[in-house]
Amino acid sequence: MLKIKNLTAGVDDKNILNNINLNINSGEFHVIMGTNGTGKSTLGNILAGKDNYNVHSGDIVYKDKSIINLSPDERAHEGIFMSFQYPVSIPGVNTMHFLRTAVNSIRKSKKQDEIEPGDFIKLFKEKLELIGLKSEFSKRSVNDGFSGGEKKRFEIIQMLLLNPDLIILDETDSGLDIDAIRIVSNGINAFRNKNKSFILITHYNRILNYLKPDFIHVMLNGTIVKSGGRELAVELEEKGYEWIK
Amino acid sequence: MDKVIAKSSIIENWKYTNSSQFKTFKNIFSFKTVEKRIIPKSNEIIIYNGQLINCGDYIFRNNIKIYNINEAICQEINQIQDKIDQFSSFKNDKYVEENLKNYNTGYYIYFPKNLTLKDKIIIKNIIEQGNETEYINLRILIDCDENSKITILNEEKFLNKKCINIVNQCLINKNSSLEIINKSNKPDTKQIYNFFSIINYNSKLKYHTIDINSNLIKNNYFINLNGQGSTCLFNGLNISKNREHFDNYIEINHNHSKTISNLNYKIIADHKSRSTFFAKSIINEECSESQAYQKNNNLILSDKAKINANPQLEIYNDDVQCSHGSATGQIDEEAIFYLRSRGIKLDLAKQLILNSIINEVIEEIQNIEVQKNLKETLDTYMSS
Repeated sequence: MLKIKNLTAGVDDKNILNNINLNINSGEFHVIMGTNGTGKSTLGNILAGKDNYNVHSGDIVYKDKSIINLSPDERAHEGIFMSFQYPVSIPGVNTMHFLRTAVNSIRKSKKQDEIEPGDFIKLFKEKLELIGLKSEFSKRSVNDGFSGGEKKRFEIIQMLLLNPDLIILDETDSGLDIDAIRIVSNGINAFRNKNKSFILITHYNRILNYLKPDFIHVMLNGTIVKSGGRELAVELEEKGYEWIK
Repeated sequence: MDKVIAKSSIIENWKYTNSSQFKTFKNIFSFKTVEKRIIPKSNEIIIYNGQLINCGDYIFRNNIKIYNINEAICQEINQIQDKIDQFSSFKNDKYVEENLKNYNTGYYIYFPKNLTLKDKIIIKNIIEQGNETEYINLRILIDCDENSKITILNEEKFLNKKCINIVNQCLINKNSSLEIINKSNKPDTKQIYNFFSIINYNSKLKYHTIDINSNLIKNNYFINLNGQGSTCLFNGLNISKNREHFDNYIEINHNHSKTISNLNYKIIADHKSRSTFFAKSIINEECSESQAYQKNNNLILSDKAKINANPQLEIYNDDVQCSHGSATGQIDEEAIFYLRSRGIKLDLAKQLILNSIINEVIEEIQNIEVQKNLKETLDTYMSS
């Protein structure tokens, strides 16, 4: 589904990512771990198409097409979704209106009819319930006054409604209490199937107990320095990153 | 009027507008009598080219009285002169003085004691006559008697190029509540607008103003919280485009203890337009346990647009709660990226952000029908 080939990228002339190579097949769950400031979130932002990053060399091929020249909305239309580490608050934009606009934008790109408002409300409320949020949530503004946990849960609701194929989860577990990690993990697991691929960026092993990933990658100084299976995360938690350096 | 203009320019609230732009305000325009039949809705008061031409049945049924100000003064209706005299405590600029001396048309609208209106009253002020070289003086005095609860939608429709000098005075007597919503459509108008309000014991003014689509606008609002427990919510939005110039001065005087003012104002400025938010909340010495809040957020959509923001608090008592904040910037790129990452195209994402600012102002209006109508008007205006 996703092939990152020799990717070197950063801000202006400065490289943050150095020669990254990563292959992700349909249905696989990959985890990227690494020290603070090593480029994990930059990779997520570059995959999602954030404007102020530049690809200096290499390519990102998604579903057999290069996406480096696509805008963030075009990437979302193709099925790429990023759950933000720090979701931005947008006072005055109602959560339900925002999500219905987003869902209809993606449907329109696929030449599908807009979803009926009544059908959307029903769907939205189902997802709220699944993630453990009250229906009053639909009357609030996007991320405005949300607790850290509510923001992360709202990201997962967006994932469920937009139904993407490649999901980048940027520190979805940070700011969540133990119960919330379980609820959010259940939501992610319910969404997993052989056609969906995941990249989870995290610092902690705890969420991996629920998500059971296929591959763990360690990123240091903008480069993937080690890859392995689930046992690598356990080893990292015991030993830290020093032994890899 | 030339001398008048020169004097006006030295008054502080005129510091962001060069009064020479109103140089065409030299001679008073005389309305020509034209027969016009406009059938009002039940809750409408229709003033057409300066003439009160009709009122709906709801106005009569609720015993709301409308008089020509001169006639009301001559007939000593409701001791009107005493009421007018209460407004002499405000410092007037020469435009106000000119208006009060030589108004073309002036109406006194009286809401009786204990009147609680379920439906809003709409004042439709339509002016088709006028020109660029003569000015029109309009005046309205609103008098809400004790224990009244009123909502007024003030719809101004000024067509063709013209110059207008408006004075609106508003007296809110004890235990009353007045909500005013100003909605205007005056694309080629040069306007000086002065609003004065006196709010007495335990009374409340909610004032909403949405300013769009004009040429040159100088608004001055003066609000006196004169009675204990009186409150004012001032809620404003100004959207400027092209070469439009809007200048808003808002002065709230706390003249009694336990008074509360809450001022929220937003500006969106595009193209080469100029907009100003200049506010003063003054808490005088004898006004313990009062609260004054100012919040101002502005968005600049073009490198050539300009916004002046000047929020001020003057506090002469130490037993008060006050805050003020003002922020001016461009559209938040992080918010745009967030929306686009959900599949929303750039233009629509920007529109959502602008609507979010607009909605915050409009949702302060209690009447849902008015909210909906204003949202539609602004949607059309923003996409034009």
